[in-house]
Amino acid sequence: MKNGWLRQVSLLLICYLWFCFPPSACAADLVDGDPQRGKALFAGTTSFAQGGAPCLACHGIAGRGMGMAGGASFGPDLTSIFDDYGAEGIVGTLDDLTFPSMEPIYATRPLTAEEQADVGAFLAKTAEEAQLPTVSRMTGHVAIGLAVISALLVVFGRGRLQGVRRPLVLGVRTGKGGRR
Amino acid sequence: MNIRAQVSSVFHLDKCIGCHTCSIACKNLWTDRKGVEYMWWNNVETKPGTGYPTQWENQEKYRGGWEKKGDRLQLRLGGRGGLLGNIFHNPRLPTMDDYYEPFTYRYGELTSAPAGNDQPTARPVSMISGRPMKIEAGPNWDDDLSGSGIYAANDPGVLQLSREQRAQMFAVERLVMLYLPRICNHCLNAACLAGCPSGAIYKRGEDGIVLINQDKCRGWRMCVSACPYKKTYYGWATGKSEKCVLCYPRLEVGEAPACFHSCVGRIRYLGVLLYDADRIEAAAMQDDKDLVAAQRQIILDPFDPQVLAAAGKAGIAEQVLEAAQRSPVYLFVKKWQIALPLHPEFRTLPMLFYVPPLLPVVSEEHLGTQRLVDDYFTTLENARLPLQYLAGLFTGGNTEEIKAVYRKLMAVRIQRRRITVGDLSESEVAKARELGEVSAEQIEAIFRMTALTSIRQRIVVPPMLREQAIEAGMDPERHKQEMGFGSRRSPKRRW
Ligand code: SF4
Ligand code: SF4
Repeated sequence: MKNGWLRQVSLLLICYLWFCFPPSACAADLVDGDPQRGKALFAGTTSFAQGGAPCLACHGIAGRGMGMAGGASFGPDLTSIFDDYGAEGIVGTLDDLTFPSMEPIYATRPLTAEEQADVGAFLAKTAEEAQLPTVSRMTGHVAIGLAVISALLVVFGRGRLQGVRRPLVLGVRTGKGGRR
Repeated sequence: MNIRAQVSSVFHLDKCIGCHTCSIACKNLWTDRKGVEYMWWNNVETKPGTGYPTQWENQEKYRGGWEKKGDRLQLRLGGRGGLLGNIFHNPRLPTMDDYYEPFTYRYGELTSAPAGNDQPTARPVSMISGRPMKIEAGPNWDDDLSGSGIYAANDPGVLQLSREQRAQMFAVERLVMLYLPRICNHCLNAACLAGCPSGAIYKRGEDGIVLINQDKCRGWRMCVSACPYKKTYYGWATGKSEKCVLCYPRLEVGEAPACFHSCVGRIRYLGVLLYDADRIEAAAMQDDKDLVAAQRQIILDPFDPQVLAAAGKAGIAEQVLEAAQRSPVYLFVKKWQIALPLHPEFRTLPMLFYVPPLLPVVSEEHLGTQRLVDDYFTTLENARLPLQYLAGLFTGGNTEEIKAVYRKLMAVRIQRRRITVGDLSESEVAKARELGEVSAEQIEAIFRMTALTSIRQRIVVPPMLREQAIEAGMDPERHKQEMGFGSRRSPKRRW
């Protein structure tokens, strides 16, 4: 038991360190990218030169409050994609979008080199700055939600008919209700 | 004037022997299926008693029927907003236990038990869960036990009496009861219909039968709460509500409804009434005590030429009008005025009427046997079954109204007794007639209709004229060959 506890604390410590010093790096050719323009491309306010669909059509970035309402939920959330793939991975992927559901769209409408750099820079910045909602905050929200729902149930359910016959019979037998 | 025709009925309570044949006929015909085991579209309860479901008359609990809100009528269940707010969470439903948990016995174990020293037994099992259960209630649990300390004493009608009246009622030598057979009243101002959020309930234009469209019903169960008589039921297997259909498929081929047909006591009368639909709301808005009179007023005389002309214009066929003229219900309700609606104060204008029972009111115990009291004229005031109790059942608390009925019924008794037994003087009979405000001929007619009728006189099914209705759309012969029962979908959950 004691060991288990220790292990949990050490795991928590490691998590904390990861959180403070995330192992990310900026790739060389992403340095030229402009995250501002990347963001516009991602959200679709600027169109891709070749006519590819904006990323937000399928992917959300929860850490920036983009596509949070569940609209952009066809593909995975991209908040921390940069941390997962690393600079090289991102560069390679943006250059050649070979996922089964993306290929039909982007094979004929690839992103230009400049666009790749911009979007990549945006993703890098996102991973750096984004604040994922923490677990404790979510727990808080869930708890508040549950409390509100139960309160409503209690309020509306108070006048609910709880059965007539059984209380009547019990009442008569115990002399607490009914007549005689 | 907006004349409509209504197939309505009269139950003569003095004749009911409490045999439950009606209930069984109905069950075998309509509710012998999975999911509807607990339903008794026709049930017979002992009064005083809490009935089925328990204390159904207590609208403080069940919130059925209408109430006056200023100059409007509103469902006691609440306004439209309230209904919508409760739509997923209807708070006023009887529980399974308030009806009763339907049960059967493991009869197979009686014959399949291995030989041994013990008698084999058949354990009771729930028809819902199939598990062994303890039987605690039934649809007429307290049958014939009018003095029981739980069910009779807590009859909502008894609870509103004074302490003395109750003590008198439950004194052992005076204990008395009556049977109250109940089906859907096919009301003029049906609360079930008004409560339905899906618009699935409708009142047939041609005969006033209230039905639930099984395709449209969404199982919200608002009708179950809204009906003050608790005569719509929720079928848990199909997810739809069901109710008495007045055996309309039988009526359409000229047969009496099954409960009417099988009634051993021949208490049930059926016939067409003509009424003025424009006056429904005004009638339902009267004070409790005036409801019976108001309802009687909107029922029209089928012999009045003006009424007949207006009915013809409204599209009521001549054959139906003819049936209305032969209707025994018209005689009981309007002409003789001895049949009363059950609980008019629920304001649904129920179209099933009851002739209240004379015997429990004016009988006495004599040397261990029951017999009629000798002095008819003073007994009403200290009747064996308090008049307030009967007024609570049939006249919205108006004791004068119920007394008038009893005076008539007693006049019938007295005149017949003079004829058959001959121990009463003509002056006594004349006095009874005067008090009851009935003529000698009327008494004879009441007697004949009560005791000496054939089924064709008691039950006058109007022609339903299905061919004419079909003719409007296609040749009836072709319809017979090609349509079968028409397009039907079995009732089941479809969402
Ligand atoms: S008695 Fe019949 S018609 Fe009247 S409210 Fe109940 S279910 Fe509807
Ligand atoms: S069949 Fe007739 S006599 Fe028998 S309980 Fe039913 S209503 Fe009464």
